[in-house]
Amino acid sequence: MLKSKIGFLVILLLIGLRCSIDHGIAPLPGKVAVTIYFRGTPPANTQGIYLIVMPEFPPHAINELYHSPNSLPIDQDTVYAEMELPFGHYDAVSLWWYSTETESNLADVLALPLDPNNSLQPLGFDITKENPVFEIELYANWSRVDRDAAIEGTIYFNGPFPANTHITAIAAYQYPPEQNIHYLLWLKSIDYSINSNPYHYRLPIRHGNVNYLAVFWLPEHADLSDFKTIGIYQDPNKPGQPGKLSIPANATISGIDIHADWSLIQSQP
Amino acid sequence: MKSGRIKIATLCLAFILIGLASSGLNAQTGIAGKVFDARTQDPLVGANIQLLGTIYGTSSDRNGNFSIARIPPGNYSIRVSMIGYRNELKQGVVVSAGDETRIMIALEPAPIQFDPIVITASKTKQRLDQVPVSLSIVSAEDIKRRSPTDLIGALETTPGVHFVGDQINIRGSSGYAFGAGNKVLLLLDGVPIHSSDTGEINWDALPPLDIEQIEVLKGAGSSLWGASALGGVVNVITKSPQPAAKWLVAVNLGKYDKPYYEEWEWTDHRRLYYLRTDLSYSQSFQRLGVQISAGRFRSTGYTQLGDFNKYNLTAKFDYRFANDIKWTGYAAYSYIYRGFFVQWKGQNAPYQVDEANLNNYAATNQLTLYSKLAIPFSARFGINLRTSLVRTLMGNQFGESSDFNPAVGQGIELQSDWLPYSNHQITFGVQYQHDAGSTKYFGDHRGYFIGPYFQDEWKLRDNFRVTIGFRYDRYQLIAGPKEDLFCPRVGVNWQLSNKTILRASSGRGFRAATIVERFLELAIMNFKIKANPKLKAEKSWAHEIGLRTYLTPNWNFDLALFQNEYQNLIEPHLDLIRGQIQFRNIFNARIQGIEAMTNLSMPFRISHLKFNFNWQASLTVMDHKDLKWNEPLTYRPKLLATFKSGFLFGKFDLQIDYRYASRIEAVKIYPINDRVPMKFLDARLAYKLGQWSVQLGVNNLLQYNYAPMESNLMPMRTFTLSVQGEF
Repeated sequence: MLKSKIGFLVILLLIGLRCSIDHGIAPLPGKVAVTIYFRGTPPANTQGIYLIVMPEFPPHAINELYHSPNSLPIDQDTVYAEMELPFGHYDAVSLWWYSTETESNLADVLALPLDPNNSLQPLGFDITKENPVFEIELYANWSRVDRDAAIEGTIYFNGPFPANTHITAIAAYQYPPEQNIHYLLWLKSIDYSINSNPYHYRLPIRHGNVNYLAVFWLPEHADLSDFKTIGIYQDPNKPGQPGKLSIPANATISGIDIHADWSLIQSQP
Repeated sequence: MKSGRIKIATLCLAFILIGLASSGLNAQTGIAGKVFDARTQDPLVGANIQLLGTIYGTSSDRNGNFSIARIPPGNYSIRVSMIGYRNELKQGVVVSAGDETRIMIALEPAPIQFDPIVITASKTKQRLDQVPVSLSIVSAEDIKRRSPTDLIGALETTPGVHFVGDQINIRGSSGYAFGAGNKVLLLLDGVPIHSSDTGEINWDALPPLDIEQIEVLKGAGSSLWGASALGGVVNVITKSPQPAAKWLVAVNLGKYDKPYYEEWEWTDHRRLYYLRTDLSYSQSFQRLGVQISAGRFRSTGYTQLGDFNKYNLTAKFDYRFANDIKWTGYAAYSYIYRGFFVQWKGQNAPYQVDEANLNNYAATNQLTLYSKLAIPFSARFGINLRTSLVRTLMGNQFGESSDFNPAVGQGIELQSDWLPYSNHQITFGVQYQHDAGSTKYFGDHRGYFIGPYFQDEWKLRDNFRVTIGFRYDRYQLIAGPKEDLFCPRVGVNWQLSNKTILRASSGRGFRAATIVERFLELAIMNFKIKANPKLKAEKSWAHEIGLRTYLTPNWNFDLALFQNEYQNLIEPHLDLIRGQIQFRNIFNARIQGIEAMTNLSMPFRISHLKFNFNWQASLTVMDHKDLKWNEPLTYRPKLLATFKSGFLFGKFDLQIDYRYASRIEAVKIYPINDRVPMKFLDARLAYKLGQWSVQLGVNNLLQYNYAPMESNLMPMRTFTLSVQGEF
């Protein structure tokens, strides 16, 4: 009698253990499946193309996005790729182009589909138990990262860099950004190697129109959306207004000087 | 630089000659005796005999006999210790001029030894319960019990110790820095053996079979051990040549189980195994002792690129000259050819790497040499001269063309032990270390450390000891910056009663950046590691108060409160925008917490059968913070717990070990990756037959999947078979 009771308890214990044992990290239940159609040919300085999924856009940091471990093939017109994901909402899916010559660049997002219902926002999606796979087609035009022209000039700062400077950058836009999200969405080119006063810059860019050229500052420990504008390229004929540039292919526009004012850091939220 | 080295060598030589000249003045008087088992009356081989109040000590030979010569006449106390036995203190041993005093010492077997002899806390032998700092011991018996395949396996259940990959954290000191710049100093018999360019610890430098004891000092040990001992010291004490010829054999076979999730299977799991074989021979021939061991550790790994082949060759010699001068020489050579699993292919293929990385193999070989000369000039003064060389060569890194030169670290240390009065034990000396490293990834760099130190252990009363010491450390990078720090330390050990001991200590720590932390430039995966030549040395203040109480002769309890304040802590920093990693200084950081530990041993008998139940439990709770941003430091759990139990019945020993670490709050590379707490359960059943033991075990019994750093899973359930024996 006693033996059978003990046996029963042991069986109950084993069943209990079996049911409640925590096994730690588990496979991810969902995934995004992407078919990528490339247009044109990759620039000679292409290091690779990586699939990225952003839980939030703009991300707080570039390591807060899902990133394929290695490059997708770049010698094919059409590529299929998958990325496993946990259940949840994702603000954007895209491709990130890496150059062999320059540091990883926020303007190197190669294909970022926008929401047809709100074209100012990237296309988001949900991975759920009911719909664990999200399929999408991405159209990647290599010409976006083929920077065949350049803008050149000098940035003059009205004083020394603040001690808590993380990054000082110059960036070019087709349209002046109005909200935080636009700083990344409408970005054409950026160079954040500015480290002296005055600083002579040469910003590689795709030919076409640049309607807003600005100098940004980012303090230590800040998010990607915390850029503060400390100077813009002004129209020589309309001081105070953004200067507009039209850049031909394979040309370098010189003399595009900018005066940056550190006091503007204080006046921005 | 060259003239500096010559000056130090000249100083050492002068010291030795003066001492040798004065040593002839002592009268030839001595103590001899025999150590035996109190129950069986069998002689005990290798018992440690110390003459308290002097610098003399020896060990018993194959017949249990020992002798200490050249002792001035007087009244002495002798302490005898041996693993598996209670310490014995023989007081009032009278030594007369020209006579040899003989004594017989019987040792009582003890299921657990709570107060072993340690050397790491003060560079001289003392009882664990008399040190002013927290120190944990891993004995040869503990190592045999766990049958580890490397030093990490031997250390991972030590209270307050946590491993992130192969990087050791003592009370949260280190975090994870990709192997570079350990904040814990690894010593081999008191000699630093980290790689001179990376500061990395090679946990495969010597086989577990060679280890007599591992001492883990917690908190800043820089005031005595110098730079790099910022977060603690791990001192691996190797076995000494045995009086009688002895062969030791150890075979460890491990078989990896299937992954818990079917979709994670990446190969025929039946092929995944490891095999470690070690053989050691030891014998003393009159005055010369020899110990040689060889080992091979081969594994398929449990992941792609997890396979490796490792070889160890070690040799230890000691020679006792006349006048009790003792020389010890040690050589360890390790060769490792292994794959580099940097990160998983994805969470749904965690044991695989991306196809582009499948050729990431590298070879490392390391040669470690040291020579130690102990010269007792008199009963109250002696010196130890240590020289060492650590040569590490890596190659074929990540498939790129090999362009590594050997990293060479050369060290010399002169230590003096002086007992000017019966209640003062003074240790002073100077240490010099020259480091050089050269690869195409960080250029050609050299630097040196020099550190004179002084310590006085002052016994104010029989139950009250104060330790006061300091060390001045200077680091000079050739053609680069110079950094220095004065590191004082004060410690108190107060035996409130014969059951309770209070200890307290406060000291500074110092560690200059390694060559790799300053100069490494490397592109790895999608990240670029950038040099930071302006990196400053990190400094700390470590404060601790602790209490140890013996609730019964077989049950003790230890509690410690600690607070470590760091300035310029060197940590890898991820540049959010550029995707770059750079070693940078964290201006101010603090780690404070509480550590509790208990050991219990319950021997009992039922009829003629002997049983013994023992367990050790520990809990470390930490609060760690970057004070500038008020954020937790990366790769550090806030709670660590271990539980080790053993139930011995007859010739069987059933053991259960459990390790827990709370979920790591902050990481560097992929903060969105799944992070879980660590929960590992290991179980073993051992059978002892004479001098042989067979052990069947299961590691990670519950198939728990844990990643100490992003995208790197620890092994799945592993079945083990270990055979150890001696003849």
